[in-house]
Amino acid sequence: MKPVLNIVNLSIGQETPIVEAINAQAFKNDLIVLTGENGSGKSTLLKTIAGIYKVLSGEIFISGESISLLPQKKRAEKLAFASTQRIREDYIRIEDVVRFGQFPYLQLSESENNNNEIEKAITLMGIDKIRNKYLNQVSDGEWQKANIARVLAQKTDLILMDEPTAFLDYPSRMRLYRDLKEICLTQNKTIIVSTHDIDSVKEFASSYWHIDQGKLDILHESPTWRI
Amino acid sequence: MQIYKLLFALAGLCILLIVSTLAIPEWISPFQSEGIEADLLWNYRIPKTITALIAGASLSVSGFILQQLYRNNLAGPYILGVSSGASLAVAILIIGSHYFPFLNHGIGISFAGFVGASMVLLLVMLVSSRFGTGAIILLFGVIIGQITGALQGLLNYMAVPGDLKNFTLWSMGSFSQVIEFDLLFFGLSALLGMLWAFLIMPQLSTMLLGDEVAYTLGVNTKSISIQLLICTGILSGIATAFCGPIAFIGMAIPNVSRLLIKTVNFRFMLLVNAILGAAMALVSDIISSAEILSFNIPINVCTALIGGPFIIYILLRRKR
Repeated sequence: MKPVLNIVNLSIGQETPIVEAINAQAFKNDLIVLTGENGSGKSTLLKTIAGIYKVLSGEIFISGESISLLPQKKRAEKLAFASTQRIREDYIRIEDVVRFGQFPYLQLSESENNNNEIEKAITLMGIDKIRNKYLNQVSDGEWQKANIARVLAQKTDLILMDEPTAFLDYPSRMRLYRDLKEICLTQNKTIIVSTHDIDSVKEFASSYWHIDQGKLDILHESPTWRI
Repeated sequence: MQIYKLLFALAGLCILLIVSTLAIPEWISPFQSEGIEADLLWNYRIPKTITALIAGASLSVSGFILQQLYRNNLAGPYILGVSSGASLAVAILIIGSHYFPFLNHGIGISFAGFVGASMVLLLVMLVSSRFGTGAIILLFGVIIGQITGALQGLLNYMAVPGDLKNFTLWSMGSFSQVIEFDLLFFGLSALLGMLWAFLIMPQLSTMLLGDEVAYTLGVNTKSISIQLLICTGILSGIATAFCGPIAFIGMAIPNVSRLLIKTVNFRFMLLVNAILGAAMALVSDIISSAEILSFNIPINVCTALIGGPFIIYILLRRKR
């Protein structure tokens, strides 16, 4: 099986490297939890894969193509990224957030196909009832569901999520990981989630990537995965 | 639903247009073809109303763009120092044209306004990219305003009395100085700025999710920001060059629009802002020319009296 994400000898950082010699692969139906202390480089790694930060050295391949050679527009069809930022604007509805997921595929105006993809993502995340709520009225858990629906609507094989559980309480966290696992397996996605709370994610990940002192360690899958 | 609100605003704007051209300070029939009244109508009131329309729309659209770009609902061309930058450049040109008369020309003045506005926008962009977009850019804008004000004071000292009076009147804001070719040029450049901004509004709306997410949706956020700053430079710079530094329209109207219409369709929001901005400029112009105090109240007095309390309301509402 070909890897969806293949990281070869990668160094990351904004100017000086903070993590070096990263070699890792992620396949279809992998849910990878990226752990490490605050400031260890989790976000930097995700943002480097997403193309937001430049690669210091080494290479990143997505479905076999080097991201440095992919134009930005094409990249938007291969990977989706969700940031930690919680948005509370009182004029954005849940549905509007999901609609942004189809932005890379918009022609001059919204087509039926665009709408279908958006509806599919809304149904999948079970947010049909709250689709017209404004973001200042939704809970952090509901916001994360909208966020996941948005990345699903982007129709990419690879999904990167930067600390989606940052503002969630324990039950919502469990629910979020359960949702992610289900999506990963039923929608054939590859998902990488960063977090600094390792305890609550034990049985959900197919493998762990842990960043410690400038190195990435890979711990392989828990035996209960895929059940 | 929202389209009705837009049509309603358009209808209101038309009424304001008629009132402003025909009824204030006294009624002039549009069917007269000769005499002083017809002359007054065609050569003074109509150009003045059109100027107010274009200036109001330009300023509120630039305010809307700046507020969305910096995610700060108190941003606007006036408070960020953009109008002050334009003023200073225009002051330099007007006073310099005493020595180089060929500079004193509508296009020369508007070009100066554009350059002055763009310089300040560039500085604001540099500051915001390093220090964030919160209170710091507002404070920065206020300080830029103080510095350019001081430099203008210096220029006033060097100016000849005639220029000084012109310049002082100009800095109070006026819609009645733009006629004929200048008006055409003003209208065309505002149209250019707005069309350009209109085209890239969807990209700006993706930045609601944060610049990083917008980038991963395929939006070249750097290029979009720079293009939008050029649009803002054209819109607010040229409006300031022709009408003086007009306060509050650019800050208040985008907030009014957001209160009235809640949508992420920024093309629609741009239209709403343009219509409401034009309406506020017309209302200010009507109050200004109504001869309530037996003379024309300066435009900036009117916009501040309407817009100021509203901004305070927005501020206090947010804190609650």
